[in-house]
Order: sequence, then C-alpha cells, then structure tokens
Amino acid sequence: MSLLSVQSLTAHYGDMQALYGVDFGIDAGQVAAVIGPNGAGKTTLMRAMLGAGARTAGRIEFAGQPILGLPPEAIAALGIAMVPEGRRLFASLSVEENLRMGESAGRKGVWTLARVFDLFPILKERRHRPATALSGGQQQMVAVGRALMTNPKILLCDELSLGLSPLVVEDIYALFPAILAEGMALVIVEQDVGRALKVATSVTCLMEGRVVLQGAPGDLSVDRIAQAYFGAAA
Amino acid sequence: MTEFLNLLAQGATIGGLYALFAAGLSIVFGILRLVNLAHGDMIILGAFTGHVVATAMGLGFIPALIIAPLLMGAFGYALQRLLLNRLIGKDILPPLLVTFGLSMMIQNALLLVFTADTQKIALGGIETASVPLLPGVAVGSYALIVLAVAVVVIGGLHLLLMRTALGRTFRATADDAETARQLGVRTPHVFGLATALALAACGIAGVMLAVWTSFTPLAGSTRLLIAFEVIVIGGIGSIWGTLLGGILLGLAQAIGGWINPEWQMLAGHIAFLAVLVLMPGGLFAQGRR
Repeated sequence: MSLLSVQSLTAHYGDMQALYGVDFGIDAGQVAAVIGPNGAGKTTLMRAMLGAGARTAGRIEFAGQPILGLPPEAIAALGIAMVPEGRRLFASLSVEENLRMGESAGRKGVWTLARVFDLFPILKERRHRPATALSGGQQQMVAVGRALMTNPKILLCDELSLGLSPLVVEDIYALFPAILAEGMALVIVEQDVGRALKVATSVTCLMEGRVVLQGAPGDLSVDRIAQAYFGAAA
Repeated sequence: MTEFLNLLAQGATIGGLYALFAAGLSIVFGILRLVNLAHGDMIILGAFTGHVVATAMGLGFIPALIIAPLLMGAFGYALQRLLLNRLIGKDILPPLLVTFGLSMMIQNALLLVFTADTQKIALGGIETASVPLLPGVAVGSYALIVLAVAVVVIGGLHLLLMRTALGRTFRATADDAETARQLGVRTPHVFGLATALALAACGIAGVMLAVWTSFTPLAGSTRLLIAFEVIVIGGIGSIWGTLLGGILLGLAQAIGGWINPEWQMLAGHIAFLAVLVLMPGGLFAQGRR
C-alpha cells in the first residue's frame, strides 16, 4: 500500500474539467516527478492532495485514510505540506516568523527552527528581516523551510525553479538528499524535464488532464516523453 | 491662553476614548478584512453589559471593566463562528448588509430590554474631579484614567500582535488566509479569536464610555463614525496609529470648539477629510500591500 494514492481523480473549475480520472501514488523516501505542459493539470493535482482549489471527485488515500474532502488545515495536520508556486510568503512577517508558521500544523519532528537554520545558514543571518526583502532564491528557501517546519510525510514542491537562476536551483535541489534522508516523500512539479528525470524515482506525465505516461525514469526514454508531450496519437 | 490650553488638554484626553472606540474596528478590519457596521452598537452593548454588572447587580466599576469584556469576547467568538465566518472572503457587500442588520437587531434588542432611557455608570465623584497640570490648566481625572486605559489596551494589542504566536497567526492569516490554512492554521477558529478580541475591546470601550457620559440604545452610530475617522486618520493596520488618530481627532474637535462651540464635531470631520484627501493611507500607514 502506498503512503499516498490517488485513484480516478477528476477535478472541475466551474464547467471546465481539469483532471480526467488521474491515478497516482507515492511511497516514503521516493521522489515522484509530475511533468507536462502548461495547463496539463499538474498544479490542480497537487492542490487536490492538499484539499485546496478545484471541485474534486474520486479517491485520495493518505496512510490508508481517505482525505478527499477534508479541509486544508486537517490535511496539513496529517502531514502533507506544499511549497507553493510563487512561494506565497507572508509579507508582514519576518523570515523567522514565516518559518514558525509551519508550527501551526502541530506536528513534532526532526524539522525545528534550528534544523532549518542549519540547512539554510543565510536565513539564520537574516531571520529578523521581512521575508519579502530577501532575494528570490532566499525567499524560496523560506518557503521550503516553512513547509519543512510542518514536519510533513509528503512535501509537494510546485515549480521550485520558476524565476530562479540556474545556480540557485542547483543549490536547492542539492538539499533533496538531506530532506529525503528523514524518510519524507517528495512530489515535484517541474518544467525542466531533464532535472525532473535526474532526481525522480517515478515520473508521471500529464497531458490535458490525463496521465499519458507513468513509470521509472530509467524505463522512460526521452523519445517516449517527447512523444507523450507532442502527441503520440498523431 | 489658559482657556486654549485647557481645550487642548481636553481634546488630547478625549482622544483616549476615541482610540478605545476604534481599537475593535481596527482589529476586525485589519485581520478579517471585514467592515463591521455594527461596531458602534457593540460598544453600546458593552456599555449596557457594564451597566448591568456595575449598577443593576451592584458589583461596581472594576468588576464591570473585567466582566463586560469577557462576555463581549465570548459573544464575539460565537458570532464569528456561527454567522460572520460564512461571509469572509466572498464579496464586500454581504458583510456590510449582515453587519448593518446586526446593528439594527442590537439597537432594537437593547430598546426592548432597557427602554430608550439614558443610562450612566456613576463612579462616586471621580468623573467630576480634575488634576491641575499648570496654573489655571487642568484635565479631568477620569479623562486621564481613560487615556491610561487606552494606552494599556493599545499597547497590549501591539504586544499580542507582534510578540506572540497568536499575533503572528493573525498577521499571517490577514496576509494570505489560504496559505495559512495549508500550513495547518484553523482559520475559522482564528477568525473567531480575532472577533472575540475586537468585541472585548468594545466591552472596555463601552464601560469607559458609560462613566464618561450618559448613553441610550441608539448611541452607537456616532461612535461608529468616530471609530472610522480614527482609523482612517491613524492609518489602517497601524495599531499605535489608532491612539494617535484618536488624539488628533480630539484635538481637532477641541480647536474647532474653541473657534466656535458649534464647530466642534464639524472640525473633527474636516480633519478626517483633510487626512483622507492629503494622505489617503493615514498618517501612520504601514508599508503594506
């Protein structure tokens, strides 16, 4: 049994259907990459796991418990956290206060303020600055640290590299082993397919709200992914 | 000259009362982004609650100042959880309509229970005593007490907002409630606590008002207007701005009244309009989005 399993998930925004029966699963210690072009439904899938966003139907089980329909705060308390696209830091809070908001989930674990500062020493230095006064990469560190502070079993990362320089992205991806070492599972949505394939243990490719390709990155050649992207049916 | 100084001293001290009027409105607007048109009536509800405790039950002023805020806070929590939470974040109109309806209901309920007679809490002479500041210049003892209470309330709110986990949660929720929920913040409960805090402040304001002057069930609307003017002058979201906004409004009224006694209220409104036109963010606006 997977840590998290999604079965026949559909999602609607008003009359527009965003997901058509998506299946997806992940186990502890794994990295699942969700790839696909813009509008494929990647963010909708992530937000459904968090109990946010579109009107959804189907089944999502987390550690054997159905979670579809639970409010986001209850899902956070069970142990799913997200690093949202665009970071969404709290503008009137300092760096440290932003990080401490992760304590709201009420989950004790290895990720404490001290541990996050060990991971990102620069944040310790700037802990009293307003979070929005930091550089883009540092803000992304705050967003990752804030999600880690909820001590999740699954961390969802939406477009971590968006708007960051390649060097900063490299730095942030370099932290994955340290995070995975704690037995966490990671779901990453990534535009950069090459990078996603490098870190992932499984890849799910979405197209127009459907899974068109799923498997271990070793089994998926770049050709098959390109075919999935550009229309194998054609 | 001493007449003018006396007026300034009076104006500055009534600012404390005005700041107390505005504190609750500032909390509800700042944290919930909800305009509470029943705010003035909630101050008057606090005044009646204090009156019942102090006079009808005969417990006196200090117990009233403790019990009224507690009861008002409990009322605020229930009101938010049962009613106002349904209105948050949708549209600006439903909260206005619902709180306007609440305003009518509170006024009429108070009329029904307490009639339209004027009420007052008597404080055994302190209301009329005064403290000399300079030769010929004096301020009311009770006005000084009100100003001190206002400083304590505003200072306490500032510490709560800036130094505690609850305050941090309030600010984060005001910034981005959806992200806060995804981190585990139980926003319906947090909104309930914010309204509880706001109505507790209304309870304190009401009890202080009840000694300052007599009141009737219909006395809320002028207090709502004052509270709005204070937070606009002080700057929305600035908690210390509330105190300074109250004092500035009081001073403007005092100066207007010195020029012509009929201009007292008018001068306050003119000061409010001048700030709105010249510095729409308020005098102590914080650099918020």
